Parts: sequence; C-alpha cells; structure tokens
Amino acid sequence: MDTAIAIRGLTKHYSSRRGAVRAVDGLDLDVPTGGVFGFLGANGAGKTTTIRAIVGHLRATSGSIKVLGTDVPGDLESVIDRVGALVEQPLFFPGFTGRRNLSLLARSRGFPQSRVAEVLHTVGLDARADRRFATYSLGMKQRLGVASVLLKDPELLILDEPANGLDPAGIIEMRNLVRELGAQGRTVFISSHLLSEIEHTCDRVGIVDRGRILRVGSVAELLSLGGSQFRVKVPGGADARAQAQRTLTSAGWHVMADEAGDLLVDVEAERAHEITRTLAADGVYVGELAPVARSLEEAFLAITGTAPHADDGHEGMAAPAAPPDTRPDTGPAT
Amino acid sequence: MSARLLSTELRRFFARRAIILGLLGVVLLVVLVNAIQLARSTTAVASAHTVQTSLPGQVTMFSPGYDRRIHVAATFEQTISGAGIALTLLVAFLASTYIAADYGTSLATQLLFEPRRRVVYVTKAVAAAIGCAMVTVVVLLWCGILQYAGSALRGISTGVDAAWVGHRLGDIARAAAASAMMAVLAFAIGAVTRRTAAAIGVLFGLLVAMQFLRATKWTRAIGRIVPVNAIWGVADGKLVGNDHFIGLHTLSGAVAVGLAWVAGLTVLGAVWFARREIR
Repeated sequence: MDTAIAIRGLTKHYSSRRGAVRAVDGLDLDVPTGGVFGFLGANGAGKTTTIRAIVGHLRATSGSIKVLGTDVPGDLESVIDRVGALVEQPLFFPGFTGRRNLSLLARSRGFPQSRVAEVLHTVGLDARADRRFATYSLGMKQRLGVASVLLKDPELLILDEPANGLDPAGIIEMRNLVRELGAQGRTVFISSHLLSEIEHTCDRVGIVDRGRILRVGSVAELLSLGGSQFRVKVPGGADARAQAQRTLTSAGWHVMADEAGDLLVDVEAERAHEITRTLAADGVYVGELAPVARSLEEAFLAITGTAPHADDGHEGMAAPAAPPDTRPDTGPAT
Repeated sequence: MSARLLSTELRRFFARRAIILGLLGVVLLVVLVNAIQLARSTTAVASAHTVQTSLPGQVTMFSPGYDRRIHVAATFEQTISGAGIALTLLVAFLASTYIAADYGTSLATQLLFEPRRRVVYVTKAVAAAIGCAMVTVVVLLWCGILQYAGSALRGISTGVDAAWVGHRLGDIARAAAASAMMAVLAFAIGAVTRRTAAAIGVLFGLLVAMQFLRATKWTRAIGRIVPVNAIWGVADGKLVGNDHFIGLHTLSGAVAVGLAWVAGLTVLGAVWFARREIR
C-alpha cells in the first residue's frame, strides 16, 4: 500500500506553567494514497498539533514524518507544491480582497493567475471574490481557505476541521467537495471532531486520543467493533416476547429489550440465523430479524471511552489511554 | 530569496492600509507645512518712524525688517536632515507592523506556500527595507517639489542648478538608506515581539537609553554602538561637531555601525524565525 503520509513515533511536548504538556505522544499513522482519510478525535486529542508538525509549522520533539515519500520538515520545500493544507482557521490579510489574497499566494509560487479564478469558481466564491476578507462570513472564509489549498492542484490535501463554523448547507457543500476531491484520485486527509462528518465523508478513519492513535480502519470496520447486534421482533404480544427472551437467554445469548419491547441480541452476523432456529425449536416464531446499525459515535465511545464532543482538555494529560484489548486487524495502528 | 518572492512581498507591503494611510498622512502633512510656509513667505525692509508720546518729546521706533521668503536652495538640505530623522520613526512603525500583522493574519498560510523560513524572513526584511526607503524618497522628493514651487511662486528660486540637485539627491539617498536600516532593525524587533506596540516600545526604550547615555562616563564608547544613534547619524549626514550623535565622528563610521546591526540582526532574526513555532 502506497502511503501519502507516514508518521512514526511522533511526540510533541510543550512547556507550560503547569509543567510539561504532551500534546502528541508517540503517534504512529499511515495514510494510504487516494481517497478520504478521517483523523477523528476529541478537542485537544492532538489532531491539529499533528497536522502542524506535518506542514512544518512546529518542530516535533521526536519522531519522523514522511509526506509523499519525502522527509518533513527537512525536505518540505521539495514537496510543498504537491501538498495543499488548511490548518485550523484560514488566515489571510483582512484588508485584502479574497482574490488579492489568493493572487499573492499564487504569485509567490509562480502559479498562473488564471488558476485563481478557477479555484474561486470551484468553491463558489467568484461573485464575492472582490470583497475584503474581513467582511466574509465564517463559511466564506472557510471556502477561501479551501480555494487556497486547491491553488496548487495538490496530490495531497490536508484539511483541519474544514466544517468548523459552517451552517448545515455549508457542511453539505464541504462534504460533497471533499468527496469529489477524494474521488478524483487525490488523497484527502481530513481532521474533525464531528463524527457525522467523518462517517459521511471518509473511506478510512484513524481515531486519535490523548496524542495517540487508538484505531485505524474503514468506517465499516470501526462500526463493527465490539460485535454486532440484531433486533428480533416477535409477534404475539408481551407473553410471546417474554418467552422468546427466556429461550434465548437460556440458550446462552445476551438479550435486552428495547423501549418498543423488541429484543436486542448480541450476535455476529454470520450466526444470526441461529436465533430463528433456537426460537423455532421452542415454538416461538420470529416476525423480523434485522441488524442494528451502530453509529460511529458508539464505536468512538467504545474505543476511547470518552464523548467525542467533550472539550475535556486532553491536551496535557500525562497518561494516554491504553488501547483496548480487542483490536481487530484493521490497519496499521500503533 | 528570489525576484518573484521579493516582488510578491513588495506588493503585499504597498497594498497594506498602514502603508497607504501612513504615506498619505505624511504627504498631506508636507502640503500643510508648505502651505503655512507659503503664507509666511514675505519680506519687509527695515524702517524707522517717530511717535508722539503723551509726555513732552518724541520717540523713534525702529522696525528691523525681515526676509521670510522660501528659498529652496538654502533650506532644503536642512529639511532633508530633519525630515529624514523623523521619517526613520515612521518607517520603524511601518516595518514592525508589517511583520507583526503577518503573525496575526496570513503568515501561517504563506508558509504553506513557501516553507523556507529563512528565505521568507530575509525576503520580508528586504521588502520592508526597500519599501521604507521608497516611502522616504517619495516624501522627501515631495518636500523638495513643494518647496521649489513655493520658492518659484513667492520666494527665491535662485541657486537651484544641476550640482545642487545632484547633492540633494545624494542627501535623499542617504536618508533613504537610513530608513532602510531602521526598517530592518524594526522588522527584527517586530519579528521577535510579534506585536507592533511592543516593537515600538523597544525602539522607544532605545531612544530613552540614548538620553541616559549622555550622562554617563561611557557616553562615547556606548554611543558608538547604539543602532538608533548610528542610523540617525546617517540620516543627518553631518556628524562633526554635532552633540546629538554621541560618539560618532564620521558618516562612514555611522554607516558601518548601522550596517553591522543590519547584518547581525538579519542573521539572528532569520535563525530565530526559522525555529519559531507558527500558530
């Protein structure tokens, strides 16, 4: 597998009044070439610090990073034209228009000025390109940031929380744009703490917590972590459902009833048919047997043991969370 | 540093509102000062007349006369010296705010396009130096043009010949060089402090320190190495017998001190900037 980004043992310590802060703690990660890779973690998990190290905005305390096969930050100059990055909020001169900001960036690398109009059109900003950046809404600023990333026509796009501050329509636009870019054969590395964004946008996901990668895999793989669950609908009222629950429990299944009275049975997909057989053998017939869809949020909670939206100040916590014991072979995690 | 990068930085420099408004403000100030000088550009001959007092007898009143006419050939050299020093203060603000504002606005984005930090630092410092020198040239030429126009309209325009013009252009070039040196100095301080106000505070501290130096026994020794002292000496151009420029005796000495500071700060600033974390 070709890797667009390969990180080994990345560590970043900061000094603060409270002592040493470990923002990233021995992070290992391989981002495959092509497609959209999600870098998912709570606020303060170390996502932005990692991205800053990748683009050379900060120096790692230890570890190595290769971007498109090139060591960074040492040889960043040789690869920078193939990498477009948006780190946190897009930063431009507030007094300059969006067009002038992009024009100056294009000029600094010798890109044709015609490219500026193209990328403004791509992000839907051409009508407002001649307004000062300071007057832009958050969504427009974000789009200008993406336009600046596209100026280089890069092979690798690194987008740090691109949906931050966008309204629902903007989020959907951004999601479609990111998918489109990934479908064009580029590698898109997108960080977010928004589970729905990652779930709807990415092919593969790396979950980061307290500066370490806990799990890497496809979205489907992560959703299946911790086993699957099936919903069993039993016709015939409460008595029939109670009998079905007793039958399954005595047969060794872990069974719960949901609010509607349906039974939730923990079972692997390939053994789900055994539920119907067990119940039929006891004279109970199944009306419906369907897998329960888990959300990435549940998977995230199962992996990290923390709520993904919590701004709980992970950055700086000394002890990283231990990875779960049950780790499927889903990718090159730590 | 490439011509393309430098050209981009100069475009950034001159597109900034602080530069445009600063230059516009000074240009208007020069117009105002010259308008006042034009209004006062009069002459009167000496006279005497007798006045009858309430006491017996008369008193003779003498009026000495004056000549306040604008005479560009006589005054412009002094204007260049005075305005040149004042302009070093303006460019100190322009250069320090140039880099300080970058930190808060687009520097992180710029480094995603040009990651060679030392190249970025040197290019920006050179752009600040060139830009500030150009501001100084424009303002001083504007002063000269208005003074010449005033002299031609209501004053004395004699003495303006090719040799005089050549000398004054040399003076302007010297003042521009002083501005460029001050720009690099202020740029380096701005790059370290990351705040315009802090950079100006450091420069103001240097000026205050210079005043204290006058009262110490190390006045001459220390005065030779104070950068602002050297830069103002370059802007003024006449150091011999001038108490304002402590310990400096020759223009070439002041230039040498100024250039040493420029070179030293550029190297230190570039190394420091290359190691700095950008947030």
